[in-house]
This record gives sequence, structure tokens and C-alpha cells, in this order.
Amino acid sequence: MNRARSIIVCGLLLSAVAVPQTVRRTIDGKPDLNGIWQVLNTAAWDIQDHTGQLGVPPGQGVVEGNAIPYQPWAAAKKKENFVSRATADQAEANCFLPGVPRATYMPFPFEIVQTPKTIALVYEFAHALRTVPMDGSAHPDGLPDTWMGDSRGRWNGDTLVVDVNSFNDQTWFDHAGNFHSDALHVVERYTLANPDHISYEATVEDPKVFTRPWKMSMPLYRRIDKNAKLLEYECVFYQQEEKFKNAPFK
Amino acid sequence: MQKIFMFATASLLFAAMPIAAHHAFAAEFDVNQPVKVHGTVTKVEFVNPHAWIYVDVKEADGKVVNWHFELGPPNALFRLGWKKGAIPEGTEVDITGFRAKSGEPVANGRSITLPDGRELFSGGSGPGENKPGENKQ
Amino acid sequence: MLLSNSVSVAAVLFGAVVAAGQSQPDLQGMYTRNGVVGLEGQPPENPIDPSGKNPLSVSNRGDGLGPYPGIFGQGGTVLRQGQARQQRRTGIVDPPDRNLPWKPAEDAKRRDFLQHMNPAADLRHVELNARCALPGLFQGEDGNNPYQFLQPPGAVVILYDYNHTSRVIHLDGRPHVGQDIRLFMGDSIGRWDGNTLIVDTTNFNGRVAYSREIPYLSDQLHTVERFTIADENTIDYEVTIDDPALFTKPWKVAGYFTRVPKGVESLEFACAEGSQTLVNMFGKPPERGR
Repeated sequence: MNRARSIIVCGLLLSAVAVPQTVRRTIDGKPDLNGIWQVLNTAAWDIQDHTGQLGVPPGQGVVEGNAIPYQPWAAAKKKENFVSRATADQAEANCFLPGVPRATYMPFPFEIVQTPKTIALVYEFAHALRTVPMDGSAHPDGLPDTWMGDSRGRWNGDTLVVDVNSFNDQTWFDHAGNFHSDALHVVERYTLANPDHISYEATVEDPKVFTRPWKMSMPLYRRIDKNAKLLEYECVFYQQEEKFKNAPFK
Repeated sequence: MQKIFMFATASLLFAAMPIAAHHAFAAEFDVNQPVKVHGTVTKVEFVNPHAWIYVDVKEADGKVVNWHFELGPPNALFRLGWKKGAIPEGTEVDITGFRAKSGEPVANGRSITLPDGRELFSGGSGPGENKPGENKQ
Repeated sequence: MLLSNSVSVAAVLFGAVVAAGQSQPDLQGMYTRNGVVGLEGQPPENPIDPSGKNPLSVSNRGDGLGPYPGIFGQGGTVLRQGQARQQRRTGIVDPPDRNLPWKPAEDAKRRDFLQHMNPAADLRHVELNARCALPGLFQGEDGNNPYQFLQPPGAVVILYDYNHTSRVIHLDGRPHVGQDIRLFMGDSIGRWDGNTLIVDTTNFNGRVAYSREIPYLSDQLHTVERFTIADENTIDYEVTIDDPALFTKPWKVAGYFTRVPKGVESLEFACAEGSQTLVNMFGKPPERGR
């Protein structure tokens, strides 16, 4: 980007994670996360270690310890999900909103729009969108269940912490059938490791499905391509064009 | 300085505000197939773009059919003070509407009344605040 | 005023940043949008929602004849609380008589197209809003869903509650994307001129509607929008619509944005996830083997 900026970086104070001093800061002194980011892993297919198959690239998992602490009934449900994933994974089958944190690691770029009072996360996949109030407000009471959750953000030193709840139970964590209930609670942490990499962590908690909280972590890579921008991946529309091309059916 | 032009704009903004402008109601529901059912609520989904009420209805032959009634956008309700869980499962309701053109047990939910005559979603904010026939617009 | 050094200074001041050359007038906040979509001087009948003739038109009718309980159309009352009543330019403003400079053959085509929209003859004749497609620049306003303007460095970002639509308008003077990339929302490049944000948009995909009476604009559409900060609560909006495939010259539309009360937040508007519209219209598509 051809921006004219002059930056004076002054001493970092107490921050939980050390951010290099080459990192650009915004007008309110926070690490500048603005830009387009994308993962380079295969978590979208399977967040755990997985061997390659036709159509599925192999990958080392993003789950710390590689174990997802399902309750016994849920471990069985995950296996059922895997078997029926071609139709049961609504993000892939229907192009529905992918939920959190899956939206982060879909194989599509997303954009962080950072201002002091509000941060927006704009995803190219299905034009998914999250707005993150940074005003210290609490999650509203009695919100309708949502696909992308209700997000509330704050800075912990130089780490952006986003607390997300009010989910429905319709999204999966990946195409392998890893799932959650409407009690899902996710805490994301975004830390600028250097100007072009964010260290991203998502702590997942769901007392209806898991025996304890667990964590995923992965780097986010800045899209430094010249004039990088999000385009449109309108798979709902593309699917309709295909499914209803001979409509009406009666 | 931007001039303000005094056009006689019809106060469309405050009158016939189109709800659910994102879909063609008349193309989906059949005005020639009015429905009226009595049943018990099995589920209420506060999902966009439309909230849904699912109602178990006992047909004449004794079979129970789960009807799906489409309502308007729930965000409007939330902003007006209706919260998730406001209508519990098992609530008895009378619902009128028009059946979907597809012929499935799907209809819009035009009016929803409780056994005591109170109309659900009739205005005001939140359940328990509506009085029969009251329509605060 | 360019400094490109990264020498750290072990000082007490923390994180002070001076951004040179990127100051923007501030229009950040949540707004309702008004009046962008309007009728032509002699509009064709709108077959989908001919209000007055169709007792089931999708409107929040005071006489209670709407398809849903009236309260579902009233979320906008919360958004509009405390807003001053405005009389501003809205709808088609140029030409003044609102008779658009249609190429006659194209006007005839679109009138014929409208005749096949209810019932929809096929998928092509289903209005895009009913498919949960991105709304383009003109649709997407139904009175219940606010707009949010954000200004990160170097861009203006407009977020719609409606179908979680977003527009990222870069201000860095970059060129438009290549001709082969086609978008519902087009490709927007912006610049500030005093208190007016001017946005140039191209690369449309030929599917988006202006209104129910103008159900599509072509892929030759080129728009120039002007967002002018009129006062601390109001943004005046004007857009020049230049579509040489359909019209002999450009025309203009106006509207405005008004701030909503404090505390109004964005709510998720998941569209496709809850939509049964195409199935209700056409029946279930045949199962496909996967």
C-alpha cells in the first residue's frame, strides 16, 4: 500500500506478549492489525492431524495436544458427523456462514478493519461479517442465536482479545465434523508477531459438548500482494444457479 | 454548503415500511390457500431472515403434523425488547396465514393468538405486556 | 513528511503515532439510510408487490393485512427514535421529471422481464433480494437495518446489517480491478474532496437491481457516489448512474443517512441460512448424487 505515514514508535510498556518495535501502531497506540490476512494451513478440512485423501490436503493439526476433549456422547456424534459430512457440513454443503473460529481458517482471505471503538472482521467466504465493539460493553441479554456469534473486544496490552458467545448449534469447526452446541464460548487472541504475521489463538469452551476448554493456534499471514483486496465468493448464488437451473419443478 | 431541497417527499418512511423486502411474499405463499391451525409450539427459531414457529397440529385423522410458520425478521423483535426464549415450548396457539405454494405444511404466520385471546407479537415490548386487542404502533 | 525509520525510543510516551497525509473528515457511526430507491415518472406496474392491489403485499400495513404480525416491521422505530424529521432530496433527482433516458428497446425488455417475475418463470426472473444475493449499491434498505461507517487508515468501510454486506472503499488511488472480475457490489475507489467522499465504482456483474421496477442494471454500469457530511447527524447521498447498455445518458439518485440513537448495535442478519424462498416458489430441486 502506498501510504504516507510517519511513525514514531515509543517504548513498549507492560504487555503480556512482546511485540517487536518494528510493528506499526494506530493513532490510539495499538498494534495495527488493519489489512488482509489468510491462513496457510488445512484446518478448514480438519483441525486435527490428518492424512491426505483425494480432495483433502494433508495437514498437521492446529489443536494444542491434537486432542479434542469430547464428552463420550459427543465423540460418537463427531464420528457420525464425519460420515455424513458431504451433506451435513452446512458451510460446505449450503455455503452457510461458517461460524467462529472456522471463518478465520477457511481457505479465503479476510480483512481486519481496526478503529479505536469498533473492529470489523470482513470475510471473503460468503461475505461473512463480524463487528466487534471495543467499548467495554457486555454481551446483550437474550440475543437470538447467531451463526457468527456476538463479539466483544478489548486490548490486553498488545493482544486483541475477542470474547464470543450467543452462537447457534449449526456450525462445525471444520469439514471433519467437529461440532459444538449453542453453549459455545470462544475467546480469540490476535497478537502481531511481526508486521506481516499475527499469532492467532482460539480457546473453545462448551460445557454441553466438551469435558474442558481446549485451544487452537495458528499463524495468520498478511496478504502482501500488490493491491490485495477481498473479492466475492457468493457460493449460495452459485449453488442456486446450479440447483434451480431447471426450475420450476412442479 | 449542501442545500436542502424541499421536495414533497411522501412520508413513506414512516408509513408503509416494507418489511422483508428481501423476498417476494406473494410469490411464495398462496392467497387461495388460507390456513388456520390450532396446536402446541415445539420450537421457536429466532433466525434471520425470518423467525419461525414450529407447531404440532393434530389433523382430523389423528395424525400429528409439525407445521412450520414463517414470521418476520427477528432483529426487529429484539430491538423492540423481545428476547430469546420468550415463547416456551408447549405454548398452545391459534395461527392464521396462507399456505406455501409448494404445498408443504409451511405457511406464513399472520396472526398468532394464545388461548386467552391475547395476540402474540401485537405491539408493545416483550411478552406479558400485551393486552387483548392492543396494538401500539 | 515521510519518515521511514524504525528506531525505537526508550521513552515514557507509549505508542504515539502520527499519521501524516491520511486525515479524513469523520463520518463514523451507525445510520439509517433513506430515500435512495424511488419511482420513475411513469413506472411500470410492479408485479411482485403492487401495493394497494395486493392485500398480501410485503408491507407493514396499518390495517393489519400484512403477511406477518405488524410488530415485525417495527424494528425501524427504534432506529429512528430521536431522529429529526428531514426533508431532503430523495429518489430520482435527475432528470427532474423522473422519466429516465431508457434506450426504448431496453425499456421494453425490462417491462417484459417484469411480467415474468410473479410467478417467476424461472430462476433468472427471481429478484435478487429473494435469493439472498448481495444487494448492490441500491437495494438492501428495508427500514429495519442500519448502516455502519468505519474509517481505518486509508479507507472508508460501509457495513450493512442487511445480509451482512460490506464495502471496503480504498482511498489510495489504486486502479480498479481487471475487467474480467465481476462483482455484485462492484469495485469501489474513493477520495475525499473537502467534506465529500467521492466513490467511483465499476466491475458490476449485470445482475443487481435499482428498484423493483428496474430489476437489473448491466455490467457496463459505472457509478459515482457523493457522500457529503451535511451536519453532525446527517450524510447527504447522491449517485450518478451511468449504464450505457440500458440508457442514453446518466441519471442521478439521492438519499441521505441519519444517525441512530446511541446504543444501537449491529445485529446479525443471516439471510440464506433461513431462506426457503426458492423451494417455496419452485418446489424442491431433484436430489443429486454427491
